[in-house]
Amino acid sequence: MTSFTELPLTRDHDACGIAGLFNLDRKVISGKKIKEMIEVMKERENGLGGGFAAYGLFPRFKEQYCIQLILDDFEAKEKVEEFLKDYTDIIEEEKVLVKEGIVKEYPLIWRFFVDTNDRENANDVIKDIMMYINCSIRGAFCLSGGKDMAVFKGNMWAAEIAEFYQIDKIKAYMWSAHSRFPTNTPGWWGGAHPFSILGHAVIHNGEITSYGTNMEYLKELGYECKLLTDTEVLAYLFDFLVRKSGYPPKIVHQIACMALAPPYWRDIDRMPPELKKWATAIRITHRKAMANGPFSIVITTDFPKPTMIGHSDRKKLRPLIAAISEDESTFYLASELSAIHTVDSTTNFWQPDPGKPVIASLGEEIIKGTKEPLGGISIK
Amino acid sequence: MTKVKKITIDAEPKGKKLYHRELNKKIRRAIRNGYNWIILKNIKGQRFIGAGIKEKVTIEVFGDAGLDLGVFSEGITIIVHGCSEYLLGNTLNAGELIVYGDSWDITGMGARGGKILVMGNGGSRIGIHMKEFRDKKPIIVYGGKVKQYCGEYMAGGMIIVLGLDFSQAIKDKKKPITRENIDPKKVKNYKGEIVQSDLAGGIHGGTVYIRGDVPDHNLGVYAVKDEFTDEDTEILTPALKRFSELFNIPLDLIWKKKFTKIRPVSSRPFGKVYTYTPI
Repeated sequence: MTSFTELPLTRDHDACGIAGLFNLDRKVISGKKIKEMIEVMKERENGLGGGFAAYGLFPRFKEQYCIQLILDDFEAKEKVEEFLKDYTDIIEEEKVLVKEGIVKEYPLIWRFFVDTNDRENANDVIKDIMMYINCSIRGAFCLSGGKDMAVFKGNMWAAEIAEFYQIDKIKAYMWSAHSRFPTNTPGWWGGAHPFSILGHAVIHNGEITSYGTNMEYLKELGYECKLLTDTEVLAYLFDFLVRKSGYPPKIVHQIACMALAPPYWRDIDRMPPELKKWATAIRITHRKAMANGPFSIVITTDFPKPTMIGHSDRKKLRPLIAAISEDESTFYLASELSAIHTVDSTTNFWQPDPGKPVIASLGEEIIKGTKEPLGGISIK
Repeated sequence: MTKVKKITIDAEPKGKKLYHRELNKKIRRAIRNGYNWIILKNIKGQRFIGAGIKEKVTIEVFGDAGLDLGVFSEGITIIVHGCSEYLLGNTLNAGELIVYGDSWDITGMGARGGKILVMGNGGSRIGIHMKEFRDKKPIIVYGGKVKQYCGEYMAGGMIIVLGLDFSQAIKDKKKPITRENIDPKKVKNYKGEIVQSDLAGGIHGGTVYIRGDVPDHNLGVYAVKDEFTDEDTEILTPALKRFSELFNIPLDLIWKKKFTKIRPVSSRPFGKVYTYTPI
């Protein structure tokens, strides 16, 4: 029973909770585990946003882009549909099933499976479609637009979001979850994490104080930042660095992470010559892509292959713990170790070094973020 | 010797995680009822365990403790059989916090006394703003490695980093780590650097002892290496003895490697930086 005379038990604390789970054998698992992980860190949220990103959801529509939207009404849906018809073939559409009774008011949640008319630049077309919907179609907000993945988010407690979308009935091989404690922007449905563009989804704990610089850089590159939240720049920067910059696929994630949190010049000076050349080049070329301010992020992406990345700022001002299950089948990331130990009693856990990413890519050795970046790879 | 009166508190009754305020209420109630050894079962990252407790009691934690373990406490002993999150012993006044596991960033922030002994590795900014006054001298001992900014802005007390690898020395990994569960023969030294950049950056009091060498580029601003003398051996011995007792490793093994002593360059290194100081 709620007491009216005592302080409420759920008091606000200053943090966001982040969690990630990746089955390295690409076996689909139910969302029950990730739900438990994010629920344990309830102290980190205040009920103003939560969300999940899931990969491997639509075995029937693997090759189609899934445009998942929140809509104010059917009128907005029709507007989106009309717009989509101009640039894509809609293969299938469906209403996303949600549970009644969790929240009083909620939007219409709809997804379209589409093929683009322009097959060669399909990714760019979908990117522009997402941007256009978010900026220009009133009453519609695009949650995600990747292949074989979707984002489920809203303005509630993370546990409620899980109930609302019935996360435990969804099966995916890669999950990320976020519980929000908004600091700079109000809590609203679109402002909850993960922020997604194409196949990338970013969840973030902290704040990006370099938002202005990053936003201007992104504007030059053709990305519009209209969501009033600092995290979106990370998603767009990552998309640009990974998909458009043309770095070798094997090290593209490491380079992207280095651009987001580049090493200090004094550390670059001490690097071996080849690495020094590259670190200098990355720092100078992507000068405006540097994300300043405290952050720890989990990036999930399917480009060039399914990958989960845990990354933090160079001073490690936000927590992040990584772990692998004893049988080395599952990779975990979380703000607190207790979240990982709730679902797996593994003893194989570690804290990554400040500013160095942990990268788990399908079929590759895990980069633990405790050694020099780009180590062991010769770059020509 | 006062008689030990034990009580066990389940932090997850009926399978639901107890909120930290409820848990602390239960702990305080147990202390009021005369218990002086409180065992906490199934801890899952609850914060503020043992916050502000002034009584000389022992709290034994099974599971992973959350942030701010033992914050503001004066004279409490906390033993964690698992890991502890950030801000372990935040503004600790007295007492002893023992962790049979890792404890990450900002351990002992602004501590003014007491001892913090951690078996495993640490994160960034260990012992930031730690201070001392007369006999009140906080001590932090880390068995493993630590990351950047260890001892940043330190104004007193002592930080010891040993660089010992306990990861292979746990006899039964499924059981909680206790003294008996550690095999002293399998404790190894970490290879390579055990501290990262900006060691003792902005230090203006107290000492940092690192077991093994510290490369100059890892030293922070206004931190200098000093000669390790017999006096230092004397200062270190009680803390290391306690560490060897708790974590079941022979004291000789710790002494096998030489220590590097790091102290501030002067008693007021920032005197001329921020304020006008007439000389």
